[in-house]
Amino acid sequence: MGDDPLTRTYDAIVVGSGATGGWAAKRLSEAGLNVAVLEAGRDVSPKEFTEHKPAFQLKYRDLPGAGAWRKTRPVQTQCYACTEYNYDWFVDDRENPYSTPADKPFSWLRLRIVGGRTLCWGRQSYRLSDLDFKAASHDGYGQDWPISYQELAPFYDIVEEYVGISGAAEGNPALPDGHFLPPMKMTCGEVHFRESMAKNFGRTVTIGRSAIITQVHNGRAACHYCGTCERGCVSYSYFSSPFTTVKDALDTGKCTLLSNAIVASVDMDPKTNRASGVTFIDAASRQTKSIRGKSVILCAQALESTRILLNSSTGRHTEGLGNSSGLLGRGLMDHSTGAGASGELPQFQDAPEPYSGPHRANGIYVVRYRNTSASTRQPNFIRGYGFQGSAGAVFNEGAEGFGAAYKKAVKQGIYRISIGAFGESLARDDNFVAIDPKLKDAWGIPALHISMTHGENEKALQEDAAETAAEMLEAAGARNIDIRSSVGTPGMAIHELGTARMGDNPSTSVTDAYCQLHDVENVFAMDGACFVSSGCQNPTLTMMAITVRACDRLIDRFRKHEI
Amino acid sequence: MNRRELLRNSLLAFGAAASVSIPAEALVFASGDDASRELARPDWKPLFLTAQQNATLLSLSETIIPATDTPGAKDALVNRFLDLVLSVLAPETQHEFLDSLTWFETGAMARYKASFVNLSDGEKHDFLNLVAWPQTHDRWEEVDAGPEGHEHFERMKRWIATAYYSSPVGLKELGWDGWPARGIFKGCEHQPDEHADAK
Repeated sequence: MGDDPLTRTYDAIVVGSGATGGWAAKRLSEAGLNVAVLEAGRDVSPKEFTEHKPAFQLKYRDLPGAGAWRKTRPVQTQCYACTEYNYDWFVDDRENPYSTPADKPFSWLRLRIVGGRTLCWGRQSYRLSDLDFKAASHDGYGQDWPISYQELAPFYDIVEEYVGISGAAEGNPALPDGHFLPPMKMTCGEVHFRESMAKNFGRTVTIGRSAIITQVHNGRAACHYCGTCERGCVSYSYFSSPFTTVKDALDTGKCTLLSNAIVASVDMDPKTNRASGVTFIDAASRQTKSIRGKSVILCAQALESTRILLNSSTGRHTEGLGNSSGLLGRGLMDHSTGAGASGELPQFQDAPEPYSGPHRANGIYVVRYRNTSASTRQPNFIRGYGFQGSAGAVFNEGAEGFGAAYKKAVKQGIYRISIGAFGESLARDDNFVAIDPKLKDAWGIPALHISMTHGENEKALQEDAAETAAEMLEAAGARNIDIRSSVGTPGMAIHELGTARMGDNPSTSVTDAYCQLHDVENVFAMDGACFVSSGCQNPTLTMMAITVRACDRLIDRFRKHEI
Repeated sequence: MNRRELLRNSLLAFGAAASVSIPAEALVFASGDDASRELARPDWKPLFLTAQQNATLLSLSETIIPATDTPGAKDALVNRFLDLVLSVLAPETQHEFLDSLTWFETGAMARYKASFVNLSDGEKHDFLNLVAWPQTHDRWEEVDAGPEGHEHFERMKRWIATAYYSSPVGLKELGWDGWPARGIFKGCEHQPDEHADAK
């Protein structure tokens, strides 16, 4: 394997090394296929992890507005996880521009580095159900997925068993149970909230199902509860692809990882109408290079994968590759956020955990309860929402007054509860990405124009979420309840989905049920791009299950010499 | 939402609004670096504040977060950290900060005919008591403060608390012991139904 990696022809070229790219690399190389993984960013080292670094060791202690680096990342700093500790994992916005209509802001928050967003993702991991896969059949809006829960369930099993998801089974059909490691513990306030919600409303509150392991699992150590996962983890206790799937792939000896390889387009062989590889820019030398493969698997992140396809017009594929339906780029979704409520639970008097005490980087989850059956059908919106939140004692820097009494009040803390909604984002064809005819990135690759708004359904859904959030907190005995009811900027949920949706009918979808472009038999979009609808659950677990299912199908086709 | 998040949200716009040249910064951190050591240098000089402003801030911060059985704002070098941060913040934020700081200097002169730093401890407490509580500002007439005095107090307190509770001294106050490993999160250990009276 000492030869130039660009002189070989690979069985599969995987674009991206994050949650889905890592799985594609692992699954295909472990099946014996020769795989090349192209990652646009640099390599990552555990030496960069800063989860145990106290704030005062940073020059500006991550205070908003301070630090020249912020001028390089005016969009990325909108992300809670982009900090003075780890900003270099996030893209430099000046090198990676995109445009939006003036009245339709979109926050595109992303990383370019081996592992992608798995380095600092939120780790919440939920299965979709047939309420989601067959949502159109329930309410008539949009399209059903071409797959059912039963078809995807075995692949959820595979992913969960490898990744390690801590959580609790609840038997609620809106949120199917999985294979869980022992759940993290709830605080007293959360146990009380759970009991109160079951009793007063029949609603399910469960501990967050998280890709943080609570016992030794696949050679990784259990969580040590330092609480700041987004800065890395010395014990690899949360799932991050460079130290799990990508590592497994490289260990097979069948996988080559090329970092700093920014893919611009898919190369097509016009004689066969098949892809022959991809063209990429070597970020280090700025040279344009090609790599050859028998199949091309896009796992670059929904919008980035679609951008590559849109930038791959050639021959009969005049409006991008795989766009005979005209739907490539359309149906962009991102969960609506913004509604919620917070307050105090004065009936609990616990003091906050000391700074060096255990901190749980996880919370509680309120399972969807709207439009789940005939009896919960809503008159003014379709689909539903779930809440993430937490309750517990926190230091009370907002205490009134000054002097010794203030210092004491800060330490004494305040017992707070807060929940925030994630609502379904409807797939609409007028929410789309296209190539901006004028704008290019720092490597000369045409950039995206992103046009998305949350519509009336998302607004109605968030309004309802705000009302029911307040109602639930009140029922739990909360005081000083603060209700939030605005709808956040699209992109801020960091759950971009759609733009190359799957389906059985080539005129109404871009890929088939196995993520293969209807128009090109050896090109695949195996990330969030293929989503038909968004559900309201955090989508990464589902993306990974879809990738494994699609890879297994591809392996089968290789075995049958169909590719 | 904690104070840091509040601050972060309220000030986000400044990061986004600023444009300009590319900074030549190291891209990968040396994880052993400890920037707080710079603040403790014996030859420290303010980058942004005048000597008088620095003295007022020092005095105000120690009144808001005094040394008790644990060290206060002065020992935490709150003034030095805020001076460093202010030196790189957007002009609007700098002006806001100085407005509020100056309000205390002017107010002290009007009420006590003395600069803030020269007030006795009792006078400083008396002065802050007039603006520290949301319900007292309508009785604050002598400097014609109105609710404005309370807003200046709250703003200065936010900055001072943020600097204090992120300093080595402040983190120790909150139970930082220097060890990275935290133990197991135990959560609620009550028996079922023990929360039944919690409503």
